[in-house]
Amino acid sequence: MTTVNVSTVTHTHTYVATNLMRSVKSLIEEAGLDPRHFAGSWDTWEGAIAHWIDQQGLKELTLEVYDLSDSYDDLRGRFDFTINYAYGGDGEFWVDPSIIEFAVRKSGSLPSACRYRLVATVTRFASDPPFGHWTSATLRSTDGYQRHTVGHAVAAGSTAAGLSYYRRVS
Amino acid sequence: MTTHVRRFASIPARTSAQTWRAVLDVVDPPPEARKRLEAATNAAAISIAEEVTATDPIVFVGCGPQLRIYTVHGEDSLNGIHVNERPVPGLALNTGWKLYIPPGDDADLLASLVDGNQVVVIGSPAVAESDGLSTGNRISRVRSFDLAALKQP
Repeated sequence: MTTVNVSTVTHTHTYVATNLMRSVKSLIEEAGLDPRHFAGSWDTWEGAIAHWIDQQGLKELTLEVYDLSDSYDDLRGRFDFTINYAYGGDGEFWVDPSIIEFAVRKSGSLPSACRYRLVATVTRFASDPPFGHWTSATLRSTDGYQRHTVGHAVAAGSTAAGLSYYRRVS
Repeated sequence: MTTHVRRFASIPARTSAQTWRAVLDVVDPPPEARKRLEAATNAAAISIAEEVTATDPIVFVGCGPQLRIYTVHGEDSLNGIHVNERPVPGLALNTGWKLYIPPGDDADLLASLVDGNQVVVIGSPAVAESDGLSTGNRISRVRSFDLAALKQP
């Protein structure tokens, strides 16, 4: 039935959006960073993520961790949630919180005074959400870092979010 | 004192913030009260997202009847099982009312989000359980479920 299919797709989007938010919150807390900055924009980000996923427009959600006291190279860590819209799972909805802890542990320790920002990479056909103020951003260079993929953090039907972390190698 | 219980369909039927907005639509507060409740959206949404409200209610007090709001998650939210979003008779958010948001493990975080909001309290009212009313609330803490099962006749 078409109705069931449409509502099923909508539900996967809301499930992934809210649980991506929970995963980012968990990541920030596991890394020993202050979650207040992120929590203060929860409504805006959750709505935006759901909006973009609905368009299949969200490619990646990146948490950049940086140290402002370093004016030359302030990146200290980075975590990517990469969205897969053709996830070949069993159709179930699930979250794996253990993957967050694993990724943070493997990425190395982060100074608690670090700041962070969330950056969404979207496709060229994705439209801005109808709320919030959105501007372009450039991700920091990851020269000297190596990317490692640890698995999927959230999945719902055919939509899943894989998690990667960056670890400094030089 | 009369106590009303409502259960709102939440994730994945709605996002956490959408769930809070659905609560506000049913509560239908006057403009000044709505402004204060909307200012608590991030705190309420986090409590809902973490499924704290599946077992610990959001509580409105001092507004006529006491109103306890739980959220329903997982398959039950999609099927409407245990969902009751009917309007609440006699609710009056004019003066002297307060909203309690259960924090789960995020008490300090949620408190920082509502700092300065004089009608929102992070925690539970002191006598919330003294009315002898059994909610019979069923926990819908489904971490993994098969949506395809809904399609079966």
